[in-house]
Amino acid sequence: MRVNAALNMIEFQQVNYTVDGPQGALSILNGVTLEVKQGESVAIIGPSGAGKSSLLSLAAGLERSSAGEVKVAGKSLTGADESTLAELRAEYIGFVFQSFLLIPELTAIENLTVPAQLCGHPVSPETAQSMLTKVGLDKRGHHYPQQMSGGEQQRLAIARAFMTNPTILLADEPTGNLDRANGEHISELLFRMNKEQGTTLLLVTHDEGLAKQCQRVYRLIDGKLEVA
Amino acid sequence: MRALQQSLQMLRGERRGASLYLWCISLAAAVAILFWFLAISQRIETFLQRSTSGFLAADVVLSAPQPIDNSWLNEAVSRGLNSTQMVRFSTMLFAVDKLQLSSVKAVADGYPLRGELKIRGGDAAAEREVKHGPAKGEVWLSEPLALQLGVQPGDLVEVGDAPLRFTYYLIEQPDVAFGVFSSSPPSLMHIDDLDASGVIRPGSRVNYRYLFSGSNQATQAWYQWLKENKKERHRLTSLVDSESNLGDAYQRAQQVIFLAMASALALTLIAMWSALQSYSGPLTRRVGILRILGVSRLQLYIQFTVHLSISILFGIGVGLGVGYLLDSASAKQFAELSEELAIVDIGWKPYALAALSGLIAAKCLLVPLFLNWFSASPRGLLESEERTAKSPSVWGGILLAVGFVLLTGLTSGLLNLLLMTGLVLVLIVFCSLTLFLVGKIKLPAKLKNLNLALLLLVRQRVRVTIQMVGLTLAVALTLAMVFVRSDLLEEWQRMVPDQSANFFLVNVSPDERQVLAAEIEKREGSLSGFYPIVRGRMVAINGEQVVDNRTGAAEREEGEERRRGINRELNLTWSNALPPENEIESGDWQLTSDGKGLSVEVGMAERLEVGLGDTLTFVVTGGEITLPITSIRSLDWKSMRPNFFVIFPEKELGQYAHTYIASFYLPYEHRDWLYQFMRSYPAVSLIDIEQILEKFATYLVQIVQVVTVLVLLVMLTAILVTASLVMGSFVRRHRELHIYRILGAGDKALRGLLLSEFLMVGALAGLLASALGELLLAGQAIWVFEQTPKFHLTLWLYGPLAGIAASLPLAIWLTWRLLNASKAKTASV
Repeated sequence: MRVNAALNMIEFQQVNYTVDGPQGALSILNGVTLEVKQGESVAIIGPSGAGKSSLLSLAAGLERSSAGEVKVAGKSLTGADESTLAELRAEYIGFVFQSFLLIPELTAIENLTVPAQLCGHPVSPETAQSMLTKVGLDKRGHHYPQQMSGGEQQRLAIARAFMTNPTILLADEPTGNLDRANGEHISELLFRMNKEQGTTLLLVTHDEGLAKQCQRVYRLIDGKLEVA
Repeated sequence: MRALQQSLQMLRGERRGASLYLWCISLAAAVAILFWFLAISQRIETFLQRSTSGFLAADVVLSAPQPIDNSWLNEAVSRGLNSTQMVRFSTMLFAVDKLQLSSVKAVADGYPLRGELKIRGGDAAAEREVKHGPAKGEVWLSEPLALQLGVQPGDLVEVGDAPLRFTYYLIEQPDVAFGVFSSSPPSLMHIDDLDASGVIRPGSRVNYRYLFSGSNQATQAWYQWLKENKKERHRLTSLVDSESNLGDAYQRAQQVIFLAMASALALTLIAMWSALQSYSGPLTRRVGILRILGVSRLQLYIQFTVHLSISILFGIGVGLGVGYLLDSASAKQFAELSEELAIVDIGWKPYALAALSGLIAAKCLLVPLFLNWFSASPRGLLESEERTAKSPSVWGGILLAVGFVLLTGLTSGLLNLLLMTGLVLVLIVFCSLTLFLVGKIKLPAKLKNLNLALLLLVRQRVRVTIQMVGLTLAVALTLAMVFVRSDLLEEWQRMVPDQSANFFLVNVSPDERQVLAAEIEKREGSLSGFYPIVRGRMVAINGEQVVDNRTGAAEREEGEERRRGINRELNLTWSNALPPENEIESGDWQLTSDGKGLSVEVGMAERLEVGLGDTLTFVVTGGEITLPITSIRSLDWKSMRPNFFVIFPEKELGQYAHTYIASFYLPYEHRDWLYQFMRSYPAVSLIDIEQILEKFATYLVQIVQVVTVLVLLVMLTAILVTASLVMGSFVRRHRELHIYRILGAGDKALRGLLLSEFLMVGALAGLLASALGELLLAGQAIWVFEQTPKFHLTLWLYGPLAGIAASLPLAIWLTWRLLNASKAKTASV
């Protein structure tokens, strides 16, 4: 489903997020407000422990905010049940993680087809193969993740993220586990794919160079979001 | 000491993860289940052995035509065995004006060593069980014998020259003979009255029986010793190796126990293997980190040896404790089945074997792990965590198999070990092949979940093979046991169909036949017909004299080489038609009915080393008959009908003095009438086999109950072990599901995937189990019971259903747990 360009694809309104720690409640996000429009690319930077990954988890409906409201594609995540959140992710969101999160027992092609099938987007092995070609893994279709380099695994993870034609791509430190050369290749691929598919991109990273390629950059410090 | 402190510190740290618990729990569970099985098997085997021995009144019996050397009895005593003796003979008993032939046992103190005698004081007195024979000066008579002699308890009965007081009716003896139609009504006296009776004279036909009992090990060793040292005229009996139905039933029960125990062992070892796989991943990573940090190999070796030893000892200790509690609880339950089962002393063996099994299995698993830790590069160790999680160590599996072979050998002996090892190997090949074939299956695209489940099964080949081997083994053994159970019952029904003979008449004169038949039929009885009997002795083969019963053995020992004969008088018969359930193996039956020759039972022909055309010479009262063998027959000795070694043509044997034997069914309510009626025929012996059948039936019921208990135990073990196997892959599955869920997979899709996967493993394992169960039953039929194997169609239906049923509760529980555990929590990804 495609949406109106004027619509906020991701919207945080005064969002607080606290977790229970050994010394009582620990505030991670504090009054975060953020709006990301269709096709925009936004980067969140900040030091370790600033709450970048938590912000991404809230946007994906994997965590629930303690206060405030999070909306994705105009739909409020507050009070939504697990199956609604899962449907929302399947419909709108693609993920790229720092640690790739591939299934070691499945080949590259199966890593694309099986999750898509489980998310209700059946895809043929041929479609998966053409996606692998797009990310430069056309000869690796029958290889297992552990037979691939870190850069190749992340390419595979990007291919998986775009397999279901998501409207939003959430990327958590996509180059964090890679060397400089591989990191540059991956960031080039990520932005190229994002442009080709017209996806809304929310990216968290330490890498200021990577962040600068986004249209807007925010800095997260002590749970508060500031324009960088 | 420092290593110990550091190990404890490491263990404290590991408490936060699940894999330490999983490893300790699986080790403890393996030891507990094994202990429980060993203890129960010990109880059941001892119980069965004692019940079976009850039919002999001992564990081992040596019978001889003359007293044996006293040094043998001393040897038995020195081996810690109990022994007693009896003398068996037939003689006329006198009471006032009546006389009756009786089969007398003169027993010494200590008789019976196993089982009980059932006696009754007077007509109105209650029956009771005693563990001793009559005192000196007393005689106990069976009811028919007392009726025929017309005596009541308190009366005097003369055995030879000795007047003995009839004190109790002898209702039931533990060592009741199965060769019913050669017996006369039984009576029991004390061996010390034998001299006074004067019934035993030189040349008397007497059987001296020496009874022994003791622990399993001692009796087995004693049996072997006797077998090696006995003379040709001695006969050694132990019901376990007898050809009776009872021996069959005991052997089947023993096999069931063995299979159950070996499968429990295999299953629990598999569970441990699986648990260590998930525990070893983080440990390998830790060793890698410590080696990168510069910790020496020796230091690491000491550190992890102490560390793992603590968890192993803890697991074994907890396992033995839990096993003991389980055994104590089940012993109380067993008390309802039989008091004896509950009070059996299980000894030290279950403790030692269970602990040893735990130790060997743990060491087998850890050795390859240690070798890998100290031979691979530190960086390789860090990278291997992922590999270890995916594919369990093959070397660990091989070593574990060696451990299994050792342990099975220790507990069950070489033959069973080979059988079980073969079985497990076949199973591994079966399961691998099945998974390979399953990988080739292309289901319609509509069956989305099944297709995905198939793919995931094939992708986790090693782990799924292990899971399937465990489940298949359990289901196959359960099915085999269920079918052994029903085979036992079926065979019993075949042997004793409704209205099968419950009485025998022996020594019926030709002119008494019609009256007896008419009276029995008047009371709804059914008579199978009268068989003529001429008592005779075989004296020569092809004109060459054979060894005689009482003197022959001695002659042979003195160096006079003579051909071996039959060491007793035979019941010879004639018949124009081939008796029911007799089959001609070679030759022509027609020649016997035409008067040309003899028909000989196949076993006897083999023992005498004779075949078609050889001539046999028999001496019967009033003459001698020499005839060639014209046919060789096989027959079912287990059937409750008169069977004969030698059948003559009527024209040859019919001219000699003969009596008849008959078996018949009479409703049991006419039993009293029958005893009264038979008083008019004092020369005819009435043998009541209803009691024998009842006792046998009770024994079979006990075996069936035992088999049922074992079936339940194996099934329970299988479920526990499958749970442990699946839990071993819990972390990996959890991680996988978590990824799918983050990517947007909903509960419904994941639930469908998990259930399809688990149930498919169950169904495949069940199908394989059917095949394996069929093979086991066929093998058992061919090699153990020497029967033609049957095809069990229902087995193929029950197999997959049982596999699914065994997996279903676990599949539902695990799906529920995994789905809940994988919800949210990105932080753990």
